[in-house]
Amino acid sequence: MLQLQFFLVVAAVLFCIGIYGLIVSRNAIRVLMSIELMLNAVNLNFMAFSNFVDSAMIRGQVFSVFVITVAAAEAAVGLAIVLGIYRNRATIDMESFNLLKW
Amino acid sequence: MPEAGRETGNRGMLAVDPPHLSWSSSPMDVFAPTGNLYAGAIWPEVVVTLTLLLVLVVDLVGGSAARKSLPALSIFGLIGALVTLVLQWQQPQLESFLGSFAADPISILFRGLVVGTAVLTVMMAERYIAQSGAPTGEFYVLLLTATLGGMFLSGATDLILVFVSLETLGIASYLMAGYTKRDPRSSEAALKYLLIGASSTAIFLYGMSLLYGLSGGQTKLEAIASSMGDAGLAGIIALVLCIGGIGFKLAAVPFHQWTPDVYEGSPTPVVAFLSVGSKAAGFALAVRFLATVFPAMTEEWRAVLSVLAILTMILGNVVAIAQTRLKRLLAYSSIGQAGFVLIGLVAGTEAGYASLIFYLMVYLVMNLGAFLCVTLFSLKTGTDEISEYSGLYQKDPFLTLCLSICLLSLGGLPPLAGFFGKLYLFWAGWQAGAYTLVLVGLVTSVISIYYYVRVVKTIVVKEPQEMSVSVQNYPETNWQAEGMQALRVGLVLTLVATIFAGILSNPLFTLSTQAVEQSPFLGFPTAQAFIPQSARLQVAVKGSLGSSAQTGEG
Repeated sequence: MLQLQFFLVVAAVLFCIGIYGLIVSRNAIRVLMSIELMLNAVNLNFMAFSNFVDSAMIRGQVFSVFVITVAAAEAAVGLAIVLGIYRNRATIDMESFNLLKW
Repeated sequence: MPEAGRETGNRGMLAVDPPHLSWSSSPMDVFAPTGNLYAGAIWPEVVVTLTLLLVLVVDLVGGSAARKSLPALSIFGLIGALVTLVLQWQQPQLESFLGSFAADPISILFRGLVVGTAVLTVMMAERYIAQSGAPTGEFYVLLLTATLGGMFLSGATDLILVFVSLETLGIASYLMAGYTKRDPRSSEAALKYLLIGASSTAIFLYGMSLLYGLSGGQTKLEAIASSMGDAGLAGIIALVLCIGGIGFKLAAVPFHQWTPDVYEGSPTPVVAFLSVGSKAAGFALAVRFLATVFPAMTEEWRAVLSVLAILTMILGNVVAIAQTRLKRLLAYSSIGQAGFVLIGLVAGTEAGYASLIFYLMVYLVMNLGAFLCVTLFSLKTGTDEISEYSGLYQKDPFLTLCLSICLLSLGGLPPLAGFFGKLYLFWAGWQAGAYTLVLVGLVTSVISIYYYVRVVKTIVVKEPQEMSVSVQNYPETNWQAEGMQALRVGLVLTLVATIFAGILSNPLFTLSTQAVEQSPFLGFPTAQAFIPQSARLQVAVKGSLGSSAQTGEG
């Protein structure tokens, strides 16, 4: 029988992989993908909790539908901005975005 | 006012024991006529939404003449929203949309702050956009969308609405930051803002998912609170993750890295909106979220926030000294200012919250005033280097006056508005026993006076031979050009408000104190039942004196 903990551990690992990718990636698209991983970890958490502790109202499932929707909007805006910056600079390497100093 | 207060009191009682609890057990009854939505709570948002759609349609079907009316249309709609907010103040709706949204006095004030920022931003943007040649309509649509997100965020009492409105504000802000897309600096700022913003949202969401699980499947902020008492380590983790997400919106150190870059690269009107409107919405979220969800962990979140506040005040104000560009200087100064405001949140007393709101009102006018001046100067000379301002006094005394007053007020020199704001904040912090915070605040505000005065000194330098090249070639101000009148109105408004908000601060302070008292989620005693005006003042004084006793209850 699957327990709640298994899902939470998978989600936590996924979230950490997302953070790792966020920190080390040099490619802007990869950074966006890492953020998607983090959001999917959150979705997994919500689905797990929704099934195990809130199976009557399933608010967690509703929440993950919202997360998926907003993540899609965010990815669309993110890709549009990456496209815009590619037109200006002909690169999407994070290391080369240094017009503004960190 | 007494009648309104009595009604508030009654509703406050109702909010404690919601009438719709009976059907919440059976989801099928959600659409039954018994479940009243109290949709009147979002009238201001409805007005903004209609304005947004109207602007979009006029931009699509109208010609270039119709497009010139877009700023006026936006300002008209936003002022309409302000009017509905004022009407709502008479009859606050403590709970609406089945407990997802609250139009209590605090949310009304914060929504007013966001809308006010948007009005001044439109005034600033009209000339900026006309001169930069970027498309007009989209800017106002995005600005109104961001305003809408900020307004919903100020009143959200449900995790889902918090998330959706946070993202509405966020995504519209990312797009506005990259608005001048031909400018590589602008798109770079947008990319950095988006990546950091999206990851901080993901972190906040992870915290929310833990809250959802810990509370046994609740998404209403109040319902979560009851199970946070025995949450243990998981509760602490959720708290830290949520503070991380909120700290990004507040630009509190160490979540501030995006601020200087985004502020430097984005169009100036956008920066003005982000530094005031977005930050005010963030503080609304912080006050509501922390006070509602984590009353059982008050000690913990105050400890975390005081560390953040100290770091924020020190880093923001010290690094600002080294800046050579005025926009970047204002970016660091706005980080430092957020640190001062955090003192009010950490104090957590009635006076603390009231001074937080009061300072945000004052900060709105003085910071937007400074940004109006920066916009005007960079429109005329194309630069925002501080050294290029030298000798401006001789060419443009009006701009000099506005900029000097706003900067000195930001520095906190009496008798300007900023002085009284800081005074109330530090006083509230001292009463609540946050001695370290207040001392750090005092020291860093002395540092901040140094760098603000340095700019003023550059501007009013006497000898004509010390004038910079930009100032020597300074063009005559043509107030008849498109958008210049709006800019002038904005300048005069902020100048007058900055000068007089300090001397006439009592009504504003009473307003914010009332808001804190009448918002039941903060849990101050007068919110529960109505007490006559005189008695309430006494309670306010007692409350601020015996604040340490209340802190424990918080």
